[in-house]
Amino acid sequence: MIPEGAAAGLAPEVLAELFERIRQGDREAYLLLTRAYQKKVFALAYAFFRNKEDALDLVQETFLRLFQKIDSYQEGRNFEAWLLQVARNLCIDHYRKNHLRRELECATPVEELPVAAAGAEEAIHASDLKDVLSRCVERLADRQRQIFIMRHYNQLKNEEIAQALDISLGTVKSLHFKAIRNLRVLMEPYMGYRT
Amino acid sequence: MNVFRKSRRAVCAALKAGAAAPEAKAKEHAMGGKRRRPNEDFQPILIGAEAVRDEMGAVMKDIDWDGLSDRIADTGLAEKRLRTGAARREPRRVFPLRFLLAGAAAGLLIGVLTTTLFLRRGPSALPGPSAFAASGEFLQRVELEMAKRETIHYLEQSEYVLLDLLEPSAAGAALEPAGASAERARGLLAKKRYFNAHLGDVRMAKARALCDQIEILLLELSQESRSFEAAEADEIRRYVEDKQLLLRIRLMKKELRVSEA
Repeated sequence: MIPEGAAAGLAPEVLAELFERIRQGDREAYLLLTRAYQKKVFALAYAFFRNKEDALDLVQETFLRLFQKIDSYQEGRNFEAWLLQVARNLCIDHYRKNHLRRELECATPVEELPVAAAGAEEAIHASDLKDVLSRCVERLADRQRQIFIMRHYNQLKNEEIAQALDISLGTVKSLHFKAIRNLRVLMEPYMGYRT
Repeated sequence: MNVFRKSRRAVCAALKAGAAAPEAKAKEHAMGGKRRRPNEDFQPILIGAEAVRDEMGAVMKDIDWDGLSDRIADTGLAEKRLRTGAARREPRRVFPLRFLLAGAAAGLLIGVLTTTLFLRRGPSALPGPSAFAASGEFLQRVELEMAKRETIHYLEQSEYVLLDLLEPSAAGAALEPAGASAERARGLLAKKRYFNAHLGDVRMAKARALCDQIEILLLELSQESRSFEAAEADEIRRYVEDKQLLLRIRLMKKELRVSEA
């Protein structure tokens, strides 16, 4: 689910007016634009980091970057995709900088998560499954991870992902397929089945 | 495709056999009962993703979104003010200062390079007197030496002309200046005009007086168009003998050569 309360995208004419007011330093316009998209950016960031504080920092950083670069926004372009692209790039930077730290801070490394016996009938507990999945998602290649997160955590459509990442729909589908296939392999020891 | 055909054949076989088995069961039978439904493999992933989304939703409920957007808007505005202020100050302060610093740095660099070059080469590298620079005294000496040489040459050539003139066989005869003698006389007159300016020095005064007397004689001899009567010729010879021109020429040559050495 996309985060509750996430506002729908604003109409292009409304956005154009907001940008103009932001350029003039209108605080109300800053607020309106931020409120309209902050939850979507947060959802993307949280899916990456699984950490509230990091995600909140990233929301702030994304909007500040947006206000700085607002003149470089090409009118007519999908604003939401552009904003998410900015957020995604910042997430990747942040992720690369802090990956090692988070790896060290993580209470239960993936290697220590309970491994199911081969052929075990009982399903792994949902909270464990969430942890296993999150840890396995982190092991995916950059683009596969981004697409999986956008598709399954942020529930974006393939077309929206393609727009946000500036790649073709076919590439999105192919990378998503690879992500799922790799996740199955990575999760296999914890699920108790063989692929 | 093969799997699809195989399962389809299995379903048909099951139907022909009269079994009311469901299609799924027939497929399972066709696959030997080993293959799971496709969704079965994805199920944990989908469940895990849903759990993450639930967690995300719970986290988002606790966030003060209005407070967050207020903070973002305030920080954004503050940054904008800073940028605008910096941009306004820049043209007045930063750019001239940059130019000044660049100029000072360039001046310093040139100064250091010049000093380094000077110190490396040492004082001998200072521009000394060039090949074209000479003192006035030196130039005067050069001029005098040149005048002496020219004069010696002039006197020698004149001596030959006079010797031809004073030939013993020619005594009492009319003087017929040959073309060659007249030509030589004219050449000597031209030479005299050329180095006459060099004879202005006091030390060349005696030589100049002699050269002038020879010049008068040469002027007469250079008249190629006229021949001299015997009386006129004798008068010229007497002039040479009276003035002791040959003797004086020899003495002068000797004197000039000595002083030249």
